[in-house]
Amino acid sequence: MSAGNDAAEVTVLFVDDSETDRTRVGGLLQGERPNWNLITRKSATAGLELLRKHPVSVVVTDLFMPGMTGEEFLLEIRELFPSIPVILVTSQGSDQIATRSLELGAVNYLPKRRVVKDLVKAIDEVLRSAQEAKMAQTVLAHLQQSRTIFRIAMSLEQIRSLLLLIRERLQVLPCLSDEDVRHVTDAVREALINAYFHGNLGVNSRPLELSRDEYQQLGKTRREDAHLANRTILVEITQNSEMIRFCVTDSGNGFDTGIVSELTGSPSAEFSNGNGFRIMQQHMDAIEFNSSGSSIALVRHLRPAGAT
Amino acid sequence: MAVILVVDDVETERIRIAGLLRRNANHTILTAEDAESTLMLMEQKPIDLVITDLCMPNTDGIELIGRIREDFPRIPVILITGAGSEELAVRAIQEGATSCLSKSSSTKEILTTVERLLAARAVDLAHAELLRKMEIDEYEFQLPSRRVMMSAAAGFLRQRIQASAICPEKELLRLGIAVEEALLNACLHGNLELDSALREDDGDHFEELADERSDLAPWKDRSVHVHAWVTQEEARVVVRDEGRGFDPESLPDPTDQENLLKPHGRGIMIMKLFLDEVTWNDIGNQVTLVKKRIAGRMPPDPDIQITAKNRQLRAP
Repeated sequence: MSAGNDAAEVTVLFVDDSETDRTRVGGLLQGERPNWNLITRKSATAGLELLRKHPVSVVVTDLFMPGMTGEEFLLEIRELFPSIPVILVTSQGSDQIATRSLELGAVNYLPKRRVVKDLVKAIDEVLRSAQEAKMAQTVLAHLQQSRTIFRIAMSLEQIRSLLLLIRERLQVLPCLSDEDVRHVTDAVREALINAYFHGNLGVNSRPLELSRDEYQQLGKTRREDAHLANRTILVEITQNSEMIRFCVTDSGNGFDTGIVSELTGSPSAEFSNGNGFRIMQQHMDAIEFNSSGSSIALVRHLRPAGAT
Repeated sequence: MAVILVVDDVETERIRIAGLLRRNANHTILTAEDAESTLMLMEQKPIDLVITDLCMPNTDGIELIGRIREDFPRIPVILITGAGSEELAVRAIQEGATSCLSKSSSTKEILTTVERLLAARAVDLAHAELLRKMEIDEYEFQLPSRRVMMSAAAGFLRQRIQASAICPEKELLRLGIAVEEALLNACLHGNLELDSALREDDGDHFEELADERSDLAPWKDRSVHVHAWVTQEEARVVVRDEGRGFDPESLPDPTDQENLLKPHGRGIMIMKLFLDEVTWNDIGNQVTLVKKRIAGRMPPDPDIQITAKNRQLRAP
C-alpha cells in the first residue's frame, strides 16, 4: 500500500431516521465534497450492519432515533470499531447531552441548525487527524531502531503514567492487536511492580514468602524510609523491526533468580504469589535477568511491519 | 487536596457553589467575580480547577475559557450554564471547557464532575512529571525518497518533540516546518537530484519530475536517513541523504531581501530562522538541526512557566 494513493477514498456513513434530513445532508455533502462516498441508513441497527461489511472513514449520526438511540449506537461503535470517528447531530439536545456525548467519545457534536454551516468543516477536521495517525504508522514501518530511557522515582503514580505512555506507543504499532497491546502492557506492569516492591523496597525479596496484599502493606511502611524512597527505577525501551524490549532495573540488591524455576504454570488465583512472573512469562517471548537479578528484560517479537 | 477557583459575578451564586464544595469536599476554595481577577489569581496561585459562570460583565464565560486555555492550557474548566443553552455548551467545549454543568445541576452531579476532573488533572500532572524523568527518546529511520514520507516523518518527529515540551506549543509548528524542510531537501535535492532552479520557471514540472524519479532507478533506491533524539537539554535531528551533497555557501544570501521570496534556498532560511543550530557535514549530504530547551522552560509543568510570564490583559 502506497501512502500517496490512499488519501482519496473517503466514505461517510450518515444515519438518521428522518428522510428529509437524509436527503438534505446527502445533498449538502454531495454538493460540497463530490469525491466522498456517501452511504445513508435510517437506523442505528442498519448502520451497524453496514459497518460490519464496509470500511467507513467517519460516521455522522442523529442522536434521537426510534429503536437504538444515537448514544447507544455511539457506544457500540466505540466498542466494536474504536478507530472510526463519530459525529453526533441532533435537533433537540441539551447542554448535558452535548457534554456527555463528547465525553463518551464522539469527536464532535452539532445542533441540526448548524449542520449546513459546519458539518463539512467538522468532517474535514476528523479526516485530517485520522490521516495524521495513519502517517505515524507509515513512518514507523521504516523504523530502524528506537530507544527511550526513563529514570522514574519511587511513585506508583509515575509507574501508572509510564504504563499509559507505553500503551499509547504500542497502539500505533501496526503489527500488534489490541489484545497484544494489553498483554505486553500487563507484563511490563508486573516488571515495574516487582522493581518497586521487591527490588527497591526490599519487600519479600524471596518472593514466595508473602502474598501480594501482605507485601504491598509492608511496602507502604518501608516507603517511609528516606533511603529507600530515594531509589529509582531505570526503564529502557528499545525497538527495531523485529522486536520490542523493555529492560527494568531497580537499585536494590537483586534476588536469587534461581527461584523463577519454581514459578511454573499459568497465572491463577490459586497461587498466593509469583503470578507477576507467570504473567510476564505468558505474554512475552523472552525474559532475561542480569547476574544479580536487579535487572529484568522482557522481549516481544514483532511480526515484520507491512507483511500481510 | 486541590485548589478550586469559583468564578461568578453574582455573589449569592459564588457563595452557593463555594459553600457546597466546602461542605462536601476537602479542597481549598477561592473565588473571583470577573475575568480579570480570575486571570490575576491564576497567575499568583497554583489552581487545579476553575468553575465559571457563562455571563459576566466585561467578558463572557466563553471568552474567559478561551483565555484560560491559551495561558493555562492544562487547567480544567467547568462552565455553568443557564437552562436551554445547549449551543453555548457546545461552543464552550470547542473553546476548551473541560465540562459543562447547568445551574440546576444537583449537588451530587457537581461533586462527581469536580472529582472526576481533579482525578484527570492528577493523571495529567503525573504525566508531565514522568516526562521530566525521560533521559532520552531516540529514533533512527531509513525512509524511501517520497515527499509524502517526508511530511509524515516531520509530523511524527514534531509529535515526539511536543511530548518532551522542549519548546512552547506555538513554536512547535515552525519547528515542524523546519524539520520538514530538511527532510524535503534531502529527498528532492539530495536523493532525487532536482535542481531547485526548476521551481522558479515552472513549479508543476518540478513536482512531476519528483514523482517520476521516486519510482525510477537509480533515484528510487536512495534512502533518507534520519537519526533524531530528545534529551532534557535539546532536540537534535540529523538528516542524511545518498546524493552528492552540496556547498551551503553557494546558496543565495537568505538575509538579502531580494532573495526572500525566491523558492530557491528558502528551506534553508527557514531552518536557520527556527532552530538554534544548523550545520552540514563536509560534503553537504548531512544536516544537523538542534533546538535547545529554553532556559527555565519546563520541565513540562506549564503552570509554573506561565506564572513567570508577563502577560498583558487584553482590553474587554
